[in-house]
Amino acid sequence: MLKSLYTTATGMKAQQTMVDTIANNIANVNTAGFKRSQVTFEDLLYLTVQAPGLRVDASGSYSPIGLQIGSGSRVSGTTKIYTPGVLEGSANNLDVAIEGDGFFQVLLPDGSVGFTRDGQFSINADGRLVTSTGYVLTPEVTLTPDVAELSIDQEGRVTISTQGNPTPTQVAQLQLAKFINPAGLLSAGGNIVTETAASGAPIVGQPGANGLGTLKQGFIERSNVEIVNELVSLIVAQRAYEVNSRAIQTSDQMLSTATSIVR
Amino acid sequence: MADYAEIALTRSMSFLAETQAAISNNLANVDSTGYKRRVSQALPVSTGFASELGQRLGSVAYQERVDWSSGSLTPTGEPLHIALQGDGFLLVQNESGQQYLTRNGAMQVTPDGRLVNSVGEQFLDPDGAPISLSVDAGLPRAEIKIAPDGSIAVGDLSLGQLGLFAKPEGILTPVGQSRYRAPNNARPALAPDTRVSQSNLERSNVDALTEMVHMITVQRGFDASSRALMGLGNMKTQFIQAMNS
Repeated sequence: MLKSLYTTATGMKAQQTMVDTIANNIANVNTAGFKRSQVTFEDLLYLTVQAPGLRVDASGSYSPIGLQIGSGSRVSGTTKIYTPGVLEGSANNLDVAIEGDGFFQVLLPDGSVGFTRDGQFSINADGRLVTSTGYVLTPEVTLTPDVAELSIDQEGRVTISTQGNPTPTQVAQLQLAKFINPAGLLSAGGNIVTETAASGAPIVGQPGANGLGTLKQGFIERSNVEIVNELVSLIVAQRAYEVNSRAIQTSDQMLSTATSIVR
Repeated sequence: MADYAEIALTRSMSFLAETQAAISNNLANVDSTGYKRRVSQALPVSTGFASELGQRLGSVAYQERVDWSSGSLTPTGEPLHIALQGDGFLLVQNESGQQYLTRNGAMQVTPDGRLVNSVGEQFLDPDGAPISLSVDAGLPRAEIKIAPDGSIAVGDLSLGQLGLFAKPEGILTPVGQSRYRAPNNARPALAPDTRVSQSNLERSNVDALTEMVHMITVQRGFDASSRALMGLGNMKTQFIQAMNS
């Protein structure tokens, strides 16, 4: 009985994690390039009370099935789901969306490289392209103040024309990075993910090459969070939490019934 | 006054308490991928009471069996998530070579191309060898197609084949994470009827409503047994009092 109390407590804890994850997904429904997380649960280890095929009595009969008692569930992981978000048009010609696989690379304050799908760039005081958080895009793209027209094509070529020179000239080449196991990337906050041993090393290349996505200037990739799905998951998680708490109540009542036999 | 009734009622109460533990485990796993609900059952044992009445009353042992019915599929959009349709299993192998059967198809690919589960055990092909995808820089993740027969391909390029195995004879021992150990660790036969459904995961087959109803029955039974036990106790007290007066 005490066992069942602890077992259901693991279920409640797991559902709590589910609610936390859904809350984070919903909170980021409008974060450009955000990828929703999905919680997966697994059953915990089993306590083997009696192994199958053991002799149960002196007459030589064998237990046809063993007895293993489960000890609840646990969160086995939260997986980032890298399905594409909806591309939304924007008036800013420094908004670049990735269509397909890949991440922009940015230089993080500690000198390491971070990865993001949020392509809402702006120009900082040094004329460099930076993300909305201010991280410098790498390889660096530096623009002079006299830029009149700027275009970024599908393969990431940055072409500008200036007031003095109306002929478009290529000044930079954007690059993308992809990972063999993007689910293994570490979310570092601020819409940035970083490389881990599980994700593997980044495979860097020109957009459109080697299975990397292409770029779309003037578009923002919306998050892939679908609010209806999240709300349904929320209801399911809440109900699951409820039935687990009911099981705790029932176990508790049974325990109290058992103790009431002794007066 | 023989103690058969007390023993039978006590057994009944411990049986119901174990059943409650099984229900608790099912409810805790209402969202566990590929989980199969466990059902308590009474196993008659030949030992116990000498008299026929006693045997009928309380000679049961607590056992659990697995309800192997399918869980519903839930789409995830992740190309390396698969659900099985049919009775088959996937086979995973840990570092020391121990193999487990599972219906949990939440796969991940390691940087060197091995297909693994959440604890890093490798998925096996029909010959029982670990699957290794040839991962060159050009592997477009979104274009990975896993066919109903378990073959993994990108376009026309075949990358590997998932082994789909039949449920072996005998009792499967649960080891957590929706994995089971086959009896004697024998390699199971192939399951030609099982189909793979890509970008889906198989939900737990626990139905919260059924478990709740079960739980109420268990609680009522437990109450009834405990009352009967108290009644028997009262009878004995009265008997002793009558003898003393």
